[in-house]
Amino acid sequence: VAASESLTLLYTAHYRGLVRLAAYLTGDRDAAEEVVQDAYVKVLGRWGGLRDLTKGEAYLRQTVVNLSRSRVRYRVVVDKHAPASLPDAASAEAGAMTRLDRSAVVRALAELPRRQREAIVLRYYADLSEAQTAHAMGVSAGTVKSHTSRAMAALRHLLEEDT
Amino acid sequence: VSTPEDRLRQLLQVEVDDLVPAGDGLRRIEQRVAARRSLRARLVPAVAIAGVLAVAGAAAITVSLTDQGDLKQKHLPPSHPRPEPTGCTTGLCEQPTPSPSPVVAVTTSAPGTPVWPFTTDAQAADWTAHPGSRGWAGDPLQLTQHLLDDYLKLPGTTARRLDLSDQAAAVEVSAAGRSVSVVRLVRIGRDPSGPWSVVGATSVDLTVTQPNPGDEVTSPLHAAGTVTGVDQSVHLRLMTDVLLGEAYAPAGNVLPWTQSVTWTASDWSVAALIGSTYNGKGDLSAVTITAVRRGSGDAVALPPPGTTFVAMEDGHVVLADALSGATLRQISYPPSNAVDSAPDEGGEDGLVWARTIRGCLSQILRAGLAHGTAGVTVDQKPVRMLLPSLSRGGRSLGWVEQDCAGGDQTVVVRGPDAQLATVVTVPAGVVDLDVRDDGSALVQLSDRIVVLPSGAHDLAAATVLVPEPSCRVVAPAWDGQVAVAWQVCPASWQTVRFTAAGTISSRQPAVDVVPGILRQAIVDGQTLVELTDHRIARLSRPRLVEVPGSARLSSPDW
Repeated sequence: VAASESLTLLYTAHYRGLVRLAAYLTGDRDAAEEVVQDAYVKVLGRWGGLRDLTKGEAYLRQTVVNLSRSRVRYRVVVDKHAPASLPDAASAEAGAMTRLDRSAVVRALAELPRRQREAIVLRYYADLSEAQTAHAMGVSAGTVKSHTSRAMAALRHLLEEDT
Repeated sequence: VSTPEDRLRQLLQVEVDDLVPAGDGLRRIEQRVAARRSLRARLVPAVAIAGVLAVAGAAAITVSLTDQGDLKQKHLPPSHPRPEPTGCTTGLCEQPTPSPSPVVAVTTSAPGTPVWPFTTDAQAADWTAHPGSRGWAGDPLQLTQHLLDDYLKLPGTTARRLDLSDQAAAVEVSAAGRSVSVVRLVRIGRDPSGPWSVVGATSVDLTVTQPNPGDEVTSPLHAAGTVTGVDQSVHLRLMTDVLLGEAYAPAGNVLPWTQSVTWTASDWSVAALIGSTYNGKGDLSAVTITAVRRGSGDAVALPPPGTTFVAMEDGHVVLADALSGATLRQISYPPSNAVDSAPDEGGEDGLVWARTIRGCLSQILRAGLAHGTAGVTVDQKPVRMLLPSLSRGGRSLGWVEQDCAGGDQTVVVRGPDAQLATVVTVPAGVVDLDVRDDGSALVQLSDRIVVLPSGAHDLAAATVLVPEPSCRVVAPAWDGQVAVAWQVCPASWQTVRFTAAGTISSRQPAVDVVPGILRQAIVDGQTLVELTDHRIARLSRPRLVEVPGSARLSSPDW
């Protein structure tokens, strides 16, 4: 498969989903698209024509996870040196109860330790198996299981209230 | 939602549902890849000084990244001039007469197979000499707008050019404020300033993974892909200047979709497979264009392994294997006071049949063969409902009704998409009914076969299929857009195809048929017939091949 075709196929099949995944992993919607574009450039550069397109999604996902980590680390450093800003204003949809409920869970998710958040997002948003999640995170399946378990314990009361 | 895990899945999906990428992502990535490629190219000489092996490695990477080499590419496939539009939009469509097939060249400024509005150098040269009213073909943006408005008939879409290359163009298409596609164009012809032509279009929301651009295809064309939306229907059209075939594929939620598109015309060489989807508000959400070439192979004589058909067995609907005849699955379970009859398969995800309760209380039931559950399509009424027919794409449903006391029968068709209703009273004795996606109904009456246009309310509006002198026609069925029937002449049986006017456009060689044919079903070039002695056979020209053990089955359809 030609490089240009590989890119088009991988873009149309996975771009949007990966942007949404990156939004969770970075906690930054604005940065998500840039992270995913970086991932495509890296993957395409590393594998040239990408002969086995079936592996493209896994490569891209793993790269998005790694780049999202870098982005979060970078932001932590920047935030340390940035002046304190005003709290975010409520969004236009904030009046909707469902939105508030939803945000409570997602806010709690954002507060989780990085690996727990990654495990939860990959398992329950990207719908990956434990093995696939482990591969994307670069850890063992057992580690995924323990991170997922701890994260669910932290989120469970919010989810049960929401249900 | 039953568990916290399920609730979390749902919340996570909903939370980012409104996060839609800007739409220029592909262009940005391409630009950055090109920039890296340029950087690598500049680095190559320096690396060469450092060592021969390093040069080889860097060059290999550069080649793999650029991939396209010389942008000026020349293709010399056998090609055919495209036929004039037939103007056939409703009712029966005539099988076009094949055009001469001279070998012609296609020269393009970048890789791709041009599909619209030009496919050959000769057409491009003609435009250069006489642009006439098609001056818009000299500008990718204007051309794309004509593509949307005139060719694809997608009103309300707007186009915006994404790049400024003189060799290849990308134009973003938007509908209702959202990006729905990126159309790619190249210059065509030997003149470097010649016209542009479309080579493809991709979309974030709809992916076509099969066929690949430039693939050779035969009928039926097997298409596959994914969509990102929930519960969508992918509309597939195979088009030259005219519609060659179309189908709808149920899809959703990134689950892969598959569908077959059948065509019968043989006078084309390059066509566009158009895919489109709409969101829940009815706004266009994605458009794709995949260029395909007509392969030389004819329809396969044998159905592929795993092909199935539906039929009646011991009073219930079953799914049977087309090669072995074995019953694979029981589909209907009528209660003791009910009788099921006449199953009809309408595409991949729809099967209907009639159920009559206590002699004269009928309903039409529907089941999804792949993953749906059974349900009522037409509520039970105190009439006899017979011969339900679901169109291939599932857009139209028809049946025959008759009062319990007897008398005339009524042909009823709902469709397409429940927009029109056909209600026509006909003399009792309807033998067969087949409904096309646009709602046109092919009806075999006791003495003739007629086509009822969608929305008809009078038999006078019907077109009669006219056999040759001393012959009669039976067992009608839609083969894509074309009506096909068996013509019975003294001592011979043959399939014939009909024009929109009801006259015969082509006939196939005679087939040995003993004792006779009751009805037929045609899908993807495969014909299944029920003989008058109720055996079932496949048509494998020039003969019929009985499905093993078929005497226990009746009313087959696929």
